[in-house]
Amino acid sequence: MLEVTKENFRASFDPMRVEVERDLDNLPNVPKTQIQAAVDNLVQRIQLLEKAVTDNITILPPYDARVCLEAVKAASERLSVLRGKLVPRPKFSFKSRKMVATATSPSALQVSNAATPAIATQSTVDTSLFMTFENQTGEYLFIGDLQVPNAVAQHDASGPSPSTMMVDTETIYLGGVQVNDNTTASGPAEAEKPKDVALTNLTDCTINLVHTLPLGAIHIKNLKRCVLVIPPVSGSILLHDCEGCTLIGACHQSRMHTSTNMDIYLHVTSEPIIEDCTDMRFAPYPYQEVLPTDQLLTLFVAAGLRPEKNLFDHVKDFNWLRQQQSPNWRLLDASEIRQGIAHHVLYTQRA
Amino acid sequence: MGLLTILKKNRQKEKEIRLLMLGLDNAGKTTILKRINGEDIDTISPTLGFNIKTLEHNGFKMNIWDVGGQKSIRSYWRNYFEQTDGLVWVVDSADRLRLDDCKKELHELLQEERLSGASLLVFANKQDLPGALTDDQIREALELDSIATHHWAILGCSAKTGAHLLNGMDWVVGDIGSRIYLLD
Repeated sequence: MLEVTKENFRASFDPMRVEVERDLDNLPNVPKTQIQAAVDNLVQRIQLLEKAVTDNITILPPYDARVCLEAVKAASERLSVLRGKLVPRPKFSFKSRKMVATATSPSALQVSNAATPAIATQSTVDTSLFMTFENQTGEYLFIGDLQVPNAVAQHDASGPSPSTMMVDTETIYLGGVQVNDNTTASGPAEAEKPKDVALTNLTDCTINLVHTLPLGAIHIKNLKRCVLVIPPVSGSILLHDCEGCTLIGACHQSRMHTSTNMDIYLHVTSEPIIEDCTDMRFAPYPYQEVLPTDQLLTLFVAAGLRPEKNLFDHVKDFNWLRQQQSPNWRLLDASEIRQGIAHHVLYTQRA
Repeated sequence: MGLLTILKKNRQKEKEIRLLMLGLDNAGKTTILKRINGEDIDTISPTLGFNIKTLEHNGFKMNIWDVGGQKSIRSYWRNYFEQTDGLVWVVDSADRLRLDDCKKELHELLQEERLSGASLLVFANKQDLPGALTDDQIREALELDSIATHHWAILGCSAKTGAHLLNGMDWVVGDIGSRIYLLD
């Protein structure tokens, strides 16, 4: 750009501007299949024009700078109008999923320009890839009874998803007596990738997530008076708007929000945090009640958790950034710890 | 030689870039920072305040500020806006339940006058998870195409595996560099 002078700037700028304007005139004649590419191309060229002006704004005579900027502005406004007319907004959906390799290549960088039209798209969130329990009252909910979201369906853009796999709860039920020996030996196949779980709007329920399925993040929202047992998971436990529940869980990060009156039996390898919570009571994870030690260790290792490191008593309260103990949480006294509650959920109540 | 030129030249000598990394809690901001810096990522606690790291990248000195994303400390984000050259917005691509929150917070930030000159890099993090949305889906969900005020780019990445973190840094450094250090 150094060779640009105020004399020769217009000589290089104007032909580019004229070409852009000509292509804008032609845009309605571009076939539908190529319209997106044509628009993207124009966006980039208008951006180049704008950059050329701003880069040289210090050397340009004010008149030239103003005329050029106005031309750029007019072009980008025309493009946004044409784009709104010609390019149909795709409805937001999660049907097709590109392979990560292509979706994240450097060429996927999309640089916008200042002319992109502000079109409000209605986003609808598809939660079907979560393993979900929602809107139940007074039920016993076991994750082994849920259909496993099929990873293949994400990659299949055409037609409805293929048949979803049912888990054979009888043979691989981990909380019971029979344990499939293959679970420890099998490699990280696609099916072994951790699944996220969403628990939403449950009241007076008992929830058992202990199963051979490897679990990732557990998203919990609006649970009232529930008892919940979570095996070691590789993701976080994220909790919002809960009240009067007993939660038993092992994870790497625990983040709890806007909840009150909770008993939490935790194995957590980083400092757990609470935010806008009151009356939170913490205790260590009841290891022996959940599974025999060797099976539990296998799950800890599979989830990438260090079994010997438990920071359940290092709670950080975001509403209490001081040295003194926060009034919003405390540890459960030994006498308050309800012995056998995990065992009751996993074994007695299920039977 | 005007004041602007002097200031530019002065800035050019240092070639310093200030990046502000924000996003909802549990997005993976600290993990990205530590991964880029080659630190251990297995023991990261939720961020109560902020972390800052200085790195050399493509001849630039980057100061990366990683500020905690918990709701109660988001109001402190504005303390870090001043002098920001680039905003790195980190999204947990698997957290579908809070995508609307994520969109709202981002678009609020973009209204902020002190961030008006900053380049915006959106990291669609956690692409290693099977339930993660792609960068295209995040782009739609966050309505990035409606952003007319900032240069932006979106990139899928994984702080866990380290995939594409440096590509993102390349873009943001390149974009800032081409804006600020015009004489290069």
